[in-house]
Amino acid sequence: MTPDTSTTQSSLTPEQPASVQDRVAALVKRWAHLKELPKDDDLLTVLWAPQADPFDPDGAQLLADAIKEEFAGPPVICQCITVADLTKKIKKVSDLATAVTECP
Amino acid sequence: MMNASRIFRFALLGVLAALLAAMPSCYADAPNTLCSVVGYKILSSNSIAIQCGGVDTSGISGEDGKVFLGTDLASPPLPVKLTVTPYPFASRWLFVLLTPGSGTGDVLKAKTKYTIQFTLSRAGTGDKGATSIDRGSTSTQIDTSGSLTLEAALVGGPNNYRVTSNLAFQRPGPGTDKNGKNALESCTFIVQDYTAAFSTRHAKCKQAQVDISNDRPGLPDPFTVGTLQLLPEGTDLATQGIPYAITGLENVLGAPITLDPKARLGQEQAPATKDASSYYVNASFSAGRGSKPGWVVDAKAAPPIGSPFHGWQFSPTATANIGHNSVSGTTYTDTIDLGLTEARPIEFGGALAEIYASGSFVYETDREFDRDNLTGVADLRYNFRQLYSPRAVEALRLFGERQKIAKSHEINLQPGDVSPPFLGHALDFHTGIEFGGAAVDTTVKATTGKATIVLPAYSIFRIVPQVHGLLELGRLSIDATGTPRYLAATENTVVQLPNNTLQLKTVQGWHGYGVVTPAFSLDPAGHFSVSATYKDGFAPPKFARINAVQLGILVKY
Repeated sequence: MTPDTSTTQSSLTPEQPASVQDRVAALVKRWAHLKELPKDDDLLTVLWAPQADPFDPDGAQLLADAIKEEFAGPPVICQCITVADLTKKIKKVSDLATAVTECP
Repeated sequence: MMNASRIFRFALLGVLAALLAAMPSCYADAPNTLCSVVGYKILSSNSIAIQCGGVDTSGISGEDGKVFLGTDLASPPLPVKLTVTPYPFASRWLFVLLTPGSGTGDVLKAKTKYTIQFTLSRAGTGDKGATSIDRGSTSTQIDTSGSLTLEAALVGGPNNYRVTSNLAFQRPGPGTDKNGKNALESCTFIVQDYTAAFSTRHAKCKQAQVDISNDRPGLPDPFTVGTLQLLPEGTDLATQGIPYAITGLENVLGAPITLDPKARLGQEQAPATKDASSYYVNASFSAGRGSKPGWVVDAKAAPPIGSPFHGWQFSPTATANIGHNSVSGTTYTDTIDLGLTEARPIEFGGALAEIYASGSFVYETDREFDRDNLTGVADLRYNFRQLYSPRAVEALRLFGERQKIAKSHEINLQPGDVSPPFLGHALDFHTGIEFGGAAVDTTVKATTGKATIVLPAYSIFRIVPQVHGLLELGRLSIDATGTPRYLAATENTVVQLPNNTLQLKTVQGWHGYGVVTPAFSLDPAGHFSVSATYKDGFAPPKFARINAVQLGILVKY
């Protein structure tokens, strides 16, 4: 299996297809009102800290809702991430991308 | 005196400097490698996806690629042409195409180690609009033996595991349907015992690999390659044995793959406290000679239901604190609460940063089910900018700022490395209503003596503004809540007089209630703290005057 890679890379725009990692990074940028894309090892609580309300439950609930909206259809469907997952197990941006691929 | 040779050298340097300044483009060796490899996925025997740490790979191209067998770079490279391009639509990945010298055939063989080396370049715009080209060489080792790692999944319950490999899996295979489409299918996994004897266990499997887009079939998302979801059946996973392999799972090079010998199935630990638990039951029984058997149950079920629905998070709540006769050292309130809470944060762009809207309905009764109180609460919490800054949050903000500086010095800063500031504060405002009522008359008994009185049914409609503040000064914190509650409907209540007789009263209008809780942490880590709670005012449902101080010692480990 050799994938078709004839399309050249370009920057992410809402209309373009994108990998799970890129979609999660763009989503976290919007969620935490960041000026630039987050790094994989950035902690979600640290990214949220400049906001005027707590991460648990406010920020976590907004993020869970944003994930649900972003991954509502194929190729990746993820409707299972909960506030409890975000406050207990999912710590980093990379964890969030991984979690998106784990929804049953 | 300056001789001719020195004059010539100065002149030459001047000419070189002028030439460099005038050049429309220049070549500069980048201090980094353009791609710091943090992972790879073998897509086929001729292609690899390489993940670059935190780098956008757009505009990068590769040249001078070499593939070596093993790690000996002194040996001659394999006769393979390497083509490196950005991976389409995956900004952190490079696509490496390996073309054998003969033009056809497989390059990568199973269970072999390779080293690949290539030079990356990226054109960019430098100072004064000049075109610059960053260059950097990159090398990484590729291992096609590809054992599987097994980890507890981050979502989906305690029996959900993630199996990952650096190699793509054969499709169709375990975790796909017959057409090679991802599907949660029955599968088996092989476990070993301490004598190395093998046995099989039942599970459900689902591969995670997806195409980047429905419009681009055949272009896998490299992040999802070589990932499988494993849901073992049965409850006592730890006793099921040492995981060895998943039956029928082969990698894209056609070799069966085994699990990392360190892989284990294990259950997650239970939450430490009642507050942290979604489900909690503490049952106590006592029996002894000459006394009646007694029991007490303190139970709670408050699991948030799934993920938010159009932004609203629903959480049913059921709490019971009931008993019969007495159990030494344990008291109970004889209340059963069944309710539903829904809440939604709404963000704003101005000075008002957020409103957190919540509503709940609670049906309150007792073990005999002879009380029927139904109450509803609707609350809006207003969060303004600059007003939410507890020490713990301020420490995270400081960490975020310092982490950027630390990274430039190649220091791995952890959140625990940043001390929280001395001062912390939070202030939020609420407006809300409480409504409902006691649907039937109830009989109230005096806490001492045999006096009883009938409390007639009544309605509740209260307007509830509230201010909540927190001030932290080092280890000292002061939490205060002020609630001026307005009772729009006349409510009934019973007060117990000093002579232990009961009197029926009606209440309405404004009834304020305040709680101030100073606490002092005795150690820097906050394991031990002393607190005092001062309550003053009139609190529902009795609205009897409260003016009390409670002292407490809190131990947390």
